[in-house]
Amino acid sequence: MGEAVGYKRVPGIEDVFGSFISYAGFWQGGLGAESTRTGAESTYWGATLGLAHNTLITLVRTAIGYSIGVVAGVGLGFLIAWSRIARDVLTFPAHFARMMPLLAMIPLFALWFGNSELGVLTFIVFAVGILLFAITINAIGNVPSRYAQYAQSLGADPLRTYAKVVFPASIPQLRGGLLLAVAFAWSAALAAEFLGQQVGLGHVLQNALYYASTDVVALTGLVVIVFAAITYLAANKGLSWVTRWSE
Amino acid sequence: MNKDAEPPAIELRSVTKTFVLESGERVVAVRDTSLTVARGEFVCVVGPSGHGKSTLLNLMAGFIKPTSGEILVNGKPVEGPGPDRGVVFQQDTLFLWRRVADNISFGLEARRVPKEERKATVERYLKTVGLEDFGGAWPRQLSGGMRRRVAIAAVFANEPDVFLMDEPFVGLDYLRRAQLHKVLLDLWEEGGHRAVFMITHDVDEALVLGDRILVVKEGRIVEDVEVALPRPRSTYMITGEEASIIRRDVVLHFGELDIA
Repeated sequence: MGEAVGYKRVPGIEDVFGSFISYAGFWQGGLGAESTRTGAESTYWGATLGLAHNTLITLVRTAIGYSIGVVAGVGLGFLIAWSRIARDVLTFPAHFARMMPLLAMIPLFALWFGNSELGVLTFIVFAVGILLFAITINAIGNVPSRYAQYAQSLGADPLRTYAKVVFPASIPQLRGGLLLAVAFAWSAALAAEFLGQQVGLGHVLQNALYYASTDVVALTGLVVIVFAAITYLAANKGLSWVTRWSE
Repeated sequence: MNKDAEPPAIELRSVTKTFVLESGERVVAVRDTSLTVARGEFVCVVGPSGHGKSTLLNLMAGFIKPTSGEILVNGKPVEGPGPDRGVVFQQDTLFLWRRVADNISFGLEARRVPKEERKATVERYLKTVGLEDFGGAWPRQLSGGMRRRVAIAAVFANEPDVFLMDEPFVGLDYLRRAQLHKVLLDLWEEGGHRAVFMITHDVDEALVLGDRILVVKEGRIVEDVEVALPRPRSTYMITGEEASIIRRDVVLHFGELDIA
């Protein structure tokens, strides 16, 4: 039997790390590395810049989308949960919305916003916000009523009781959701970039899959795992500090 | 009746509270109860579990409304919770996200007491309850007894007219309880002997603290005993003859124990 020829569909470890040089194709030129689109050769410096640039873009989109999503989801949940009736009425629709397959929503966002930066950010905000909205309503509903009763017996008005007692008491329950939302933000950013952006790790993945470069897909997957883990640990550390009073 | 006379601290007029269970069954937790607690009086309430003691307290606190009857505190009808009635709960209600000093100042902030005055009040109460070195600690860093002291200090610092306490020392050992009895009595004396309505399961605790002991059974006050022992009350005093007569009277109203 002769030796097999062609492109390996299942790359080995060497192939994966060896594909690093392919990132040079995602650098648009500058900082001492020419773009390969101008005919320049791929270099490791160019590959490093290509990876760093695309990672940074995805990281910034994720961070901005996550931050706005947290403010929107938790803020809206906090406002809605003020009313027990609104809380009871909206709990089910919120959980239903949370169950919606995010990837299926991307074309809708593409129709609304086109392949714009706003579309990517809005999609991440939606993914994070809808999750945290449902979790916030749930968390506030689970705060024991004795806290509010105690605050009112000390003279706190309903607004103070809600803002300074009920909301802080719900934060430990929000913590799990806030961490889960980090993963949601990464998924949403990659998915949005995959379908309509010219830069970002999602775009790198889309391009690599188009050319069946499974080694680049695997290496990009590793990069995503590393950066998602770093952001998760950072969020976990931040939330540990915020809830340092918790038992 | 003298119209100029001060109204009692707490007054219940034919109060009934009925709960409707999910099954549709109606449960009468408090039955046609009338009660007067004078200003400065320390009333302890004992009785079997599930016979309406906590419901009585929740009615006075304004957390629930009576099905019929009227509740007045210092002559004013109770419409809901308010700072004139400080409540110490059986469960821990300290705000875990606020440091000890901030817990004590919560009520003062809510009532917009000036910052300097708040600070002085918090320091005074921390000292009274022996926690002057723990003002900056988080509640989770305190023992169970220390947390009870903070909870009591937070309520006393707010200077309500009436204190409502639902088994505030439950789960603490004998020594911790004895220490907290002293803290409570010190605060009560320092606060100008405001009225206290305290639920307990411990008749000895009621003998140490109370001016009166009420026995609540099946939603009614079935016994109202005056404790005419001088203060402070020592262990000898509450194990003496006079206290034993009161104890027997109270325990007998719990119902005969069916033990052979």
